[in-house]
Amino acid sequence: MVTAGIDVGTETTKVVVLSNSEIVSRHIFIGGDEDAARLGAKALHQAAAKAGMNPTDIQNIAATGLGGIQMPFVNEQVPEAMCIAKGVDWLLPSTRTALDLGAAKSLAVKCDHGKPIKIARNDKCASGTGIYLEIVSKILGIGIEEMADLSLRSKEYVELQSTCAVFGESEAISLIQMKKRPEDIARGALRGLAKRTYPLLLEVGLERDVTLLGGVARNRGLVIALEELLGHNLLVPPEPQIVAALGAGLIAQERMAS
Amino acid sequence: MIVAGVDIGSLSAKAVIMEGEKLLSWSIILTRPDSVETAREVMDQALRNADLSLDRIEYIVSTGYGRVNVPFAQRNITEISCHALGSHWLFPEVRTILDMGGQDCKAIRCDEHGRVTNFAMNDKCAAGTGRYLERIGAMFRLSLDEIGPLSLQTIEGPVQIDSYCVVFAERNVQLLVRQGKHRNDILAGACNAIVERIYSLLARVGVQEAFSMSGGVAKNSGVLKRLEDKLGVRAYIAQEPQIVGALGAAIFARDLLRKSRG
Repeated sequence: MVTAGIDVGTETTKVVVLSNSEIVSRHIFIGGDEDAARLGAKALHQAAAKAGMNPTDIQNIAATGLGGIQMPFVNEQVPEAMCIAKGVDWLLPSTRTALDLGAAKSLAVKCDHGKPIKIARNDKCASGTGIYLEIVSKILGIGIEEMADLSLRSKEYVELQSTCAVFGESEAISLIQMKKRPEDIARGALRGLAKRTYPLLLEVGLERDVTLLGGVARNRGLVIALEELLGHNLLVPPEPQIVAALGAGLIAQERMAS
Repeated sequence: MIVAGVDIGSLSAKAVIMEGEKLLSWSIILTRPDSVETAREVMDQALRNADLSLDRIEYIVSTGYGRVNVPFAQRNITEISCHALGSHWLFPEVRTILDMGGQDCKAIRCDEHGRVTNFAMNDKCAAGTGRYLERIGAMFRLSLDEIGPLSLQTIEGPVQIDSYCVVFAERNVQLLVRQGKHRNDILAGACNAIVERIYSLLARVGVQEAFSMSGGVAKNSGVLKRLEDKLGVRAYIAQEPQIVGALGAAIFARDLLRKSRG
């Protein structure tokens, strides 16, 4: 029983191939929502190749995220929250609250044994998503990965006042002009993003364990900023980007079994 | 009796010099990182335009976001009050004012004396400010004043820009460009989007005629025309809509000076 889950995001497309409820390959394809059908097909092809398969060997395919509906080879489009709850339960079953931080959205899901029971979402304001970090890291003249390392060297952070990514960009520029240390600005920006995602967690009724996923979860500086805010540890799966795709693949397995 | 008003905004600084009911001179410069330096420079320029020296100015009121950093001002007064008074001096019949600058937007209601009776403000989100147009214009290498006329010459009509946030709207526009949408139609869509935001801010205070618009965005014909159509009223626009706040500050200075002299 071979299935796949495809998660189309704004910047990357994720594919997980499963055989009898075990992961046989995963693939992260750079490229997002624009032409979902083309990107999805490419990503699926590469994921299948990694497993030594042809895409036609995959018996059931579920998609989530943006644009799944446009992919002719997809058997089912599944809501993101369902995939996240399913994927996170498979990886870290103690999770009660999942926070998915992507490039252009943040989504909090209260989970109960693999089922979403409440969700809160922001895809309206960039200052609460990964794009905000891209903007600030560009101003600092570093990559987003370096931003995390840099922030860990900060001893005293700068409070960034803006709650808007565009105003935050100007603010970061003026902080640099004021000769504030880049590590302190980086830490301030990460704390700012953590603060703006916090209301989503409260909205779903924050309950431990809390698991962070999505591309932004790879940012160690953000994980620490959120942990400082929450006052307790977070769980982060080893490959936080593929959780929704994994959940979609698992749901495709269940559909076949029933 | 010569007085002055200085308005230190986040993007531009303005100064106005008045003598009685007469406007002697004004100046507009870009705000620098140092507010004090900005204030001195904009004041110096207005003084030069009027051929005066600072010691001839009897009372100075500062306003705007940098108003506390104007060392030569005797008083500072909020920009809401200054915009109301400045608009009232220009157009006594005005009761509703919209001031839209590069970094904020204010809807103000005032009475027959130019006193503020209600206001609503956005300075938290760039999507409801002039910055939105500036950013979309920059994608086509257009300056703010080029956007208005082009947006009024649509080819297939305005496009719909669904994203609210400026950052997401930029991505939306990139996609529209790749889909072959015409620049002017996209600019028209951006003007429509900003008008929607202005409208919801105005709705919070209620629009009573006459209506006036000030601030840099008042110079944008694409926004102004669409806003007038949406409200069903004509807007009163100052010859130089950017100096209305500084003008109000100067009038406050004049009135305060008169009062102090009994």
